[in-house]
Amino acid sequence: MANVVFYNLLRSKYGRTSIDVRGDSIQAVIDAIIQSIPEATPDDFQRCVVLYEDRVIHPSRFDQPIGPNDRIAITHFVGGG
Amino acid sequence: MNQPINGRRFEGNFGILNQADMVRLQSMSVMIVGMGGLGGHVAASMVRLGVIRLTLVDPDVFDETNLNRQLFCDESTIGLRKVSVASESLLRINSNLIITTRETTVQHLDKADLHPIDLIVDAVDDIATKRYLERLGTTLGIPVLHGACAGWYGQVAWLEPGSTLLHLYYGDTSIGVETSLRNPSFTPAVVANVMISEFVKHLQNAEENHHRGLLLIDLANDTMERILTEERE
Repeated sequence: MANVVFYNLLRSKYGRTSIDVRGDSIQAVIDAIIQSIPEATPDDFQRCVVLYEDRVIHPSRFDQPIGPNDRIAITHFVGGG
Repeated sequence: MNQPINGRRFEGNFGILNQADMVRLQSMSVMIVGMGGLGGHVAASMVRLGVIRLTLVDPDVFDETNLNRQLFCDESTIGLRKVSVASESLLRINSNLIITTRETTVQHLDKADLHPIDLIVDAVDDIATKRYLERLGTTLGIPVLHGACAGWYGQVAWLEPGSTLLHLYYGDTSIGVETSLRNPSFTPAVVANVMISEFVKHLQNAEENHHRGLLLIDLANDTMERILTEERE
């Protein structure tokens, strides 16, 4: 199971800080989140940033494989001033 | 012109700052890019802290949509240049300030405007410009104090020259969640003053490695957490 930590927007929307889901890639983990959390929709992952082993993974690389016990975090781009 | 550090004006600082910190504050030159929600609060707090030399950069005038959050915007300043209004307001806090104003974008500054600058403050609302400022800090060999906000959320980082944190974080993204969450009255004020707190920490530990990642501020869930704390390409 991958451990997924939610920051900011998703933490507020889902009312939880993390979830454990199965998935062998970041996209598979996102799909599993959408299956597992009723409030989750694909739109939630537009403009999101995934952190995997403290590295930034952008949506174009969501096919990045991950291990069974890896930890990822998801937040969103914030750019206002 | 520096002011007597032991005067009453700054006595509230001396619970956490010392004489050497105050001397450093008064000798440095800070360029604040963006004089909106974040920039106004950053500028006011820096001046109250003891910074004397400021360059304010913003091409815009205040409009009605700025009234909900921008410190120097009120009904009388709508239609006026942000940097001019800010400069006048800051001089009412401290009449000895040395302020340079530039009514343009940072990309259009003259090279002469960039020297001598000791710190760049990123208070802009445009991600491409945020990436530009990170590169500018590297080019000039000076740090960048980064801030951004949207809705209940914000982020702050201290970027040493050579940092690629914003480049890595934003990638080629041009907009964030601020387009849908917008900015309420309180978030820019909080994020701006967390930027000031980060600034003071670095002022007091100038000789240390400052890479502390990106500080995420979540006012909806009452948290502040650092991410990307390891410097990587």
